[in-house]
Amino acid sequence: MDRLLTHLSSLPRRAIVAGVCFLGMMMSSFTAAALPPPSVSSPTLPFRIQAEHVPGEIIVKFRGKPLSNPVAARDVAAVHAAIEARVVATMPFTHVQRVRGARGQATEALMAAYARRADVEFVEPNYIFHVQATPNDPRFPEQWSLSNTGQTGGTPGVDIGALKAWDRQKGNAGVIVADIDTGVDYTHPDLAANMWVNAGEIAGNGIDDDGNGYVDDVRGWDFANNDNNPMDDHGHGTHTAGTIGAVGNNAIGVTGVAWNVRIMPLKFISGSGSGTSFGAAQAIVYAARMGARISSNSWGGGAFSQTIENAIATANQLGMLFVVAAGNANANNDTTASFPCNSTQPNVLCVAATDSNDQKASFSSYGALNVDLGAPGVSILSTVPTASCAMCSSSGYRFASGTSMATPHVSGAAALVRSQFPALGAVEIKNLLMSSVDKVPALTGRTVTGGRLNVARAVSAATAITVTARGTPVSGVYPIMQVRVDGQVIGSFNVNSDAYADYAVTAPLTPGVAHNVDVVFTNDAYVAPEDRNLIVQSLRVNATTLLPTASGVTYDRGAGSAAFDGVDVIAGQSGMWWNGALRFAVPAAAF
Amino acid sequence: MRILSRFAPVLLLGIASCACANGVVDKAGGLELTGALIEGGVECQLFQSNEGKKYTLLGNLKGFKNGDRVRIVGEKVEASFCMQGETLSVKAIESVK
Repeated sequence: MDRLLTHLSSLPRRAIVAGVCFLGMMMSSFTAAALPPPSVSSPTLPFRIQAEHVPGEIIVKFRGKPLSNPVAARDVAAVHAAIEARVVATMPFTHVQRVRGARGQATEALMAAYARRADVEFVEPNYIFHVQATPNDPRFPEQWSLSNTGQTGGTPGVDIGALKAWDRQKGNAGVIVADIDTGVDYTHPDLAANMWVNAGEIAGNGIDDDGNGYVDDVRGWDFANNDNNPMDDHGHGTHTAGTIGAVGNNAIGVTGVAWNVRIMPLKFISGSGSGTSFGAAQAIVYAARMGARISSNSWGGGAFSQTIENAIATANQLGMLFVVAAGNANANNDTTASFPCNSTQPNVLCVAATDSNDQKASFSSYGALNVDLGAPGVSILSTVPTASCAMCSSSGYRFASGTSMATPHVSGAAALVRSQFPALGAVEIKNLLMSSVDKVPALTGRTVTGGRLNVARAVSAATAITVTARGTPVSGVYPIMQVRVDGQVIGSFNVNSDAYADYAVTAPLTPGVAHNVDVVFTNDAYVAPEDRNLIVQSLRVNATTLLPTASGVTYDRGAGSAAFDGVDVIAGQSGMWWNGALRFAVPAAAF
Repeated sequence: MRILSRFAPVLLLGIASCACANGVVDKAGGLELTGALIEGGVECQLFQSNEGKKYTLLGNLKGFKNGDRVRIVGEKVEASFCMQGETLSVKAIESVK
């Protein structure tokens, strides 16, 4: 550090300015071992370059004009060689070079190597710039949940990170989200282009062309009136649809979380606002069978319905995520069960409502065991029909509050995740959305994650964790396996295969930082003569594979043992039969 | 008398089927309740019966507002977007003093 400061003091003013900028970067870039950390940063974690940049690549300029002098140019080349870096490109006349580490060194390490030299004028990451995807929809500035500028008196930045997410992903027409509600005004100018159409059905021919049991279901189905016209005669479903996927950047009205998506309108709630369990179940199964991989459910009933539970289970088997509202009773769903939020199906993602200051909405129900995450649900502007109905408005837009409004934010976010990671299944999308939340105090102990939706982080996820495992059942029930990173649950899987299979979750973990990954068996059981077992073959973090017998792996037998005791790890064992937890101390290089 | 004639089927069934100690007439999922529309409904109008129990209401409330005392006939719904306690689909509503 002293060397750097001395070096800076000898530089001309312009170079010092550059150097100060560089020093700023250094302060946030180097490991604690390379430079004393600034007091504002944790001394235990590596400092990182915050802005997006090309990994392992830097831009460097040596002092003077060394590349125009053969002798000096040779010296520069020797420096690159000593650092084990190679020049990718040289900018003519400027003596600025783009350099990559020959051994795949991290950007920070490369910068440190050059920064130590007095003959280097400046060095910096090769930053990546984007045109920020701010939509031209005229009422977007009123949508605090997507971009909170304090426009409603809230806290700037308290939003779902939509702008940043859209830089990476705006959605695509191949992702179908079923809006199970009062129907949707599919003619709304801000929705029409994003409405699903059943390509297997010929309109108006009176024939069930696709053989799905519904005649002329070109636009979806109305299960409340048992016809093929899911037009919204209340307004609630059109409002949720607009949050999921009002067409983005069409210079009309509002912006949906997903700019491009296909919304499948399924009406089971009548114009008066109520529906039946049977109708709900029909809609859920229809959605899953017709290709929706996400369903948005801003409704509930409180009581358990086996019919709905079975429908959600069917949807799970068909790979559909079931996003559902927690309820508006300000109740603890852990003590006062609320269905379908409290369904035990693994594809259920239950959503509480938050306000523009990251407080739990006063009305929102909650539950540390049953409500998964929060999302904005207060004063949400979205689309409504212009006809005459309970939530209609002549403008085609209105504000509304409720966990009904929070839920479609998560559904739209799930659509962006599905667009970004098409291979992810319902549970994996759920896990990713849960592991990428912004932790907020108001939701700590009141939701499973303790956080509010952050779709930007979800679509930027980089770390893939895959457990290869198989299970043996007791009474037909297979092991439930949790994957935790540093104690936080990021994935939960029903290991329902007797053969080894991959169970994958993608999580937005900080690169270059070591983590403890725990694989936990949560429902061990023995019913004579059967013993339920989870057999873990390997853990893979990105490209690094660790075996249960690898160094850095400890084993906890469970059964009340709080400590990882290290027993039963046998050298050479290819799979680990066990009923407790495995802890993998995964090195930083794996992330 | 107009409201009585409207509620007559409910009342008849209620008399035939329950003791109705709290004044609520139970009619195979149908209820007659007297109380007031109150504030606090999130996505649906909130109603508090004379017995103190709160319900959210769906359907045409004929322009009645918070603070109005009303008698309603409604049916419990299985599912709705109210998600705030028990929800009734209102079949009839009338002002009471």
